[in-house]
Amino acid sequence: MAFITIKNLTKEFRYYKKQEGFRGSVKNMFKRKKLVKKAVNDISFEIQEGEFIGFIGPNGAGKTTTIKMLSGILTPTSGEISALGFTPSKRDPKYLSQIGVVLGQKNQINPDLPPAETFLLFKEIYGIPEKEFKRKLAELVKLLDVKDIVNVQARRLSLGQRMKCELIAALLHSPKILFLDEPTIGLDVTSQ
Amino acid sequence: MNKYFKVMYASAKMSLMREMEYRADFVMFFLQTATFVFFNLLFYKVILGNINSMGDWNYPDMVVLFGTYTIIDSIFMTFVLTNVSRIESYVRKGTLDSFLVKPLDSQFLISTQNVNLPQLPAIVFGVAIVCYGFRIGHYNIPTLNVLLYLLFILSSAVIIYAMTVVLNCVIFVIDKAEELTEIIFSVKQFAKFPDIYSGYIRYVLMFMAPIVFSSFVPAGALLGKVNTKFALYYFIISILSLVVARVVWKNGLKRYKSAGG
Repeated sequence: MAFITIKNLTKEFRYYKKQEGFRGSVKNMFKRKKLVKKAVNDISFEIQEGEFIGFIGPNGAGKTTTIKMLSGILTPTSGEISALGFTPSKRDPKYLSQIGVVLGQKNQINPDLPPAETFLLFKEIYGIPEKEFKRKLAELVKLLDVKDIVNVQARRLSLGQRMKCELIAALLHSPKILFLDEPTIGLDVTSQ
Repeated sequence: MNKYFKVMYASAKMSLMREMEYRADFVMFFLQTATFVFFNLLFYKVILGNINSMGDWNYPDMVVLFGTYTIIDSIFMTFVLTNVSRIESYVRKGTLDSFLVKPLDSQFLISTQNVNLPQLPAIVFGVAIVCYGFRIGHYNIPTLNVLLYLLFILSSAVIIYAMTVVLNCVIFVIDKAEELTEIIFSVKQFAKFPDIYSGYIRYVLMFMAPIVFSSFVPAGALLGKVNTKFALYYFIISILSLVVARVVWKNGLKRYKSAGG
């Protein structure tokens, strides 16, 4: 039984184009030509337990869109996804508690507080037992070498430091599947 | 269920810690609330100084009504507005993503993210105004009425919450809807007055904008001045509005496009 099975997955977005300049904007108020973009067009594949899969493609190829459908953020236009036996777009808590997501462009760590506070909130959200939480956190902090920064307001951290904390937040509950979208933004060579 | 309470507690704590990181801003917020309550009181004083009664509501009744309005407004500002009005920007900027991947109900998570503590003391002012109304009216109130009062305050809070959610969910259909929450503010103004509507207008308002009755029904229940049938409708509508908000939210999520990244 495959961990993740994707069959004929398609996602369409509707959008429109605007002619340059102010005139174009005024015209746009009255008439818009609707265009449909197929961000993901009929893809199928399987992923087994223990595999590391990477998406490679130019900008706008649909890499992020696929990850967003796999993690339940977007609902596919057509096609099927089965992950750990669940349909992601139904967002069953039993599924969501087994996945970890890092979206490079979006922070889960609250910028106004030290990352350690966000970790504590995640402990409650994922219902991680105290002992397990402490062990896991100590392990990850050591691995990523962030001991000195977890108690500093996240706003004052560098991009790379923040990204390391994002990774910790996504791994605290020991997810079975980890979705990473541009997780290496700002990371130095040794961390990558 | 227990888990939900734990998360709610942790979120509230975090929200307060966040505010306290910015000390000056935190203190200023309290000042702002104090100013707000002061001007509201002044407004009541001026209005009530000129009008002795509205419909069959005499002066002390009106004082109780205004006190109730202050209580409900404080609940709205402390718990509802600070959370629900952010839906629009979460959707527009795509930050909703991080709520959606959590193994808890997304509507719950979004509705309990923040507590706007500085607005909470206004509740105390509200209660004080209600008590003052009772003193000058020399009223005695049976315990049952107090229970009904609390129940209908809860109904009003639910209705205001649901309406704010529904208005914010318009963002799922159109791409920008920043000004929609303003509608709540303009409609809410009418809640400062008793039921001065007659005939079918009452029932149209009841279905279209039950917020109009958000202080009248609780205050009326407390004073024994509300028609039982009308109060019952109000209660049913509060439950219905919660269901509508839920359906709108769920359907909105299906259309969610996320953004960037």
